[in-house]
Amino acid sequence: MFYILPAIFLGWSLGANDAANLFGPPVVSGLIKYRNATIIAAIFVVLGALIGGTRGLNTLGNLTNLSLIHSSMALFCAALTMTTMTFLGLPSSATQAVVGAIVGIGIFRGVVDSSGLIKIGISWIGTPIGAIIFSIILYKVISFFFRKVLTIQNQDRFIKMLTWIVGIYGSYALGANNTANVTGALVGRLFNVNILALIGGLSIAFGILTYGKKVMYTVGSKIIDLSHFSSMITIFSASLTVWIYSVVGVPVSSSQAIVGAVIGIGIVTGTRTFNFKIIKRIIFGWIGTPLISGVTSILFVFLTEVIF
Amino acid sequence: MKLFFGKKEENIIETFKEHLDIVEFGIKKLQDVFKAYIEENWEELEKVDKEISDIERNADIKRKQIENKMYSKAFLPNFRGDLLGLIENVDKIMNKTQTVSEIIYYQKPFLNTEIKEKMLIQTKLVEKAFYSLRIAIESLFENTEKALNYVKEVEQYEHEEDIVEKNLLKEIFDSKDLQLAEKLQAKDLILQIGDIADRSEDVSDRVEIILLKRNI
Repeated sequence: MFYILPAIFLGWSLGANDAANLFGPPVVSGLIKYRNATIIAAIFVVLGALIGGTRGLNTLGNLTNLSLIHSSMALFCAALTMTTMTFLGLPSSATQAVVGAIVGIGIFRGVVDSSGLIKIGISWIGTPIGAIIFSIILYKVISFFFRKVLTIQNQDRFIKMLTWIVGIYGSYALGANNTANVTGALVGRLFNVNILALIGGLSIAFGILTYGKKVMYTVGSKIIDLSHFSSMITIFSASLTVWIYSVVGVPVSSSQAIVGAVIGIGIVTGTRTFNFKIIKRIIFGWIGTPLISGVTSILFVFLTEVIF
Repeated sequence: MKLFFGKKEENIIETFKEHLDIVEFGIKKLQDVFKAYIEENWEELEKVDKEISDIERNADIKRKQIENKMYSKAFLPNFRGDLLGLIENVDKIMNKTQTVSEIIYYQKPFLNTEIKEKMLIQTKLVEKAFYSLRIAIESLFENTEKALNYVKEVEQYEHEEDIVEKNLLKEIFDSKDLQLAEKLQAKDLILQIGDIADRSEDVSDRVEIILLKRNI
């Protein structure tokens, strides 16, 4: 039981941040009430984890042949890396920290499945790119239908309804995809896949419900100021991207999907929504975060072996 | 879709239309002010001015009703500000109408009938500009595609009013029959009437911005 605690801690912290990615913009702009957003997100994250989470769980579980204690240590180090990086103001992502930690200890102590690793690497690069493409396509398609709505009150209803639908879909996709980050490392070592999916989903949901308004407002307001329509398209594109990777079975960063979607909106509307700093953040997410998390976990395992 | 939500919105739209009715009624009353002024029927002028003052107060009450209803969070957040801006600025049109009525009632500027009748023409253009504005605003809630045409109409009437205004000012300052004080008094009245049309045009600019924001 003790080994599951780092996973729950990780899920809790992931839940708050990633739900803020999805529901942050509509909550901050007042389109959706904070309380409603968190309750719905929590419910659909758990459903997503239970219905669509197992593929990703198996991918991470089969990535290395680490023992239960080492897997649990990897999760602890990933959570530690995330917390420290957030504290230092560096971009951090649970997905990248967890994979970095598992692979780090895997290299140090066991075997790493290189084909699984390649799949993850390609998916990470594909996440912002996929979100860019989806947001361009979705913007064009949905704006075509939006233009057919000829009164302001109906336009507002159209946007509000779709924002709710994509928020629910996004929560489902988040649960399906990111549960693997929380409990994937424990697959084959503790409980069965379904129970791990449930624990992963519940801890993310717990994070969403308890982390407080401030995180959602901070994350939500950091995402560039978009119109209600564009922000709905952003959530939709990011959710679609994250959902597709949950079907493929690779956990990806929802933050990177959101950033990609915002860039796509910029391209389609002809406004500049990205700069070199954002590109640097994305690349740092691919290389820097897993590297720091990997090195931290190797040092952690090394030190515990020297001491005990 | 209305079954599930939209009652708050429909209610606000209805109240806003009532507000527009009141302001339109007030502007139409200006014709009566000028008729009494031309006929030098001061008793009638006092009565109409009082009516305009009541209309202005009713418009204020209606505006406050809408603003209170807006707290119920109807419409999307970024449209609420736009809508409040529209309502407040329509209300300012009524305020200016009252100012014109009061200038005539209190000061009764000494002018010949010909100039007074030209002012009446100016007032009719003001009324037309407001009527087009009203349709432009209503189109936002009925058919946004039509709204822009009415915005252009407001601009057209404001332009026509501007020409009448300039000609009147020239005529007054060219006049040999009026003292400088009388000329300045007349100038103020003409400019204030023109301001009603200017305010209608300002609101029509806001309508245009709302449309542009939604041009996705």
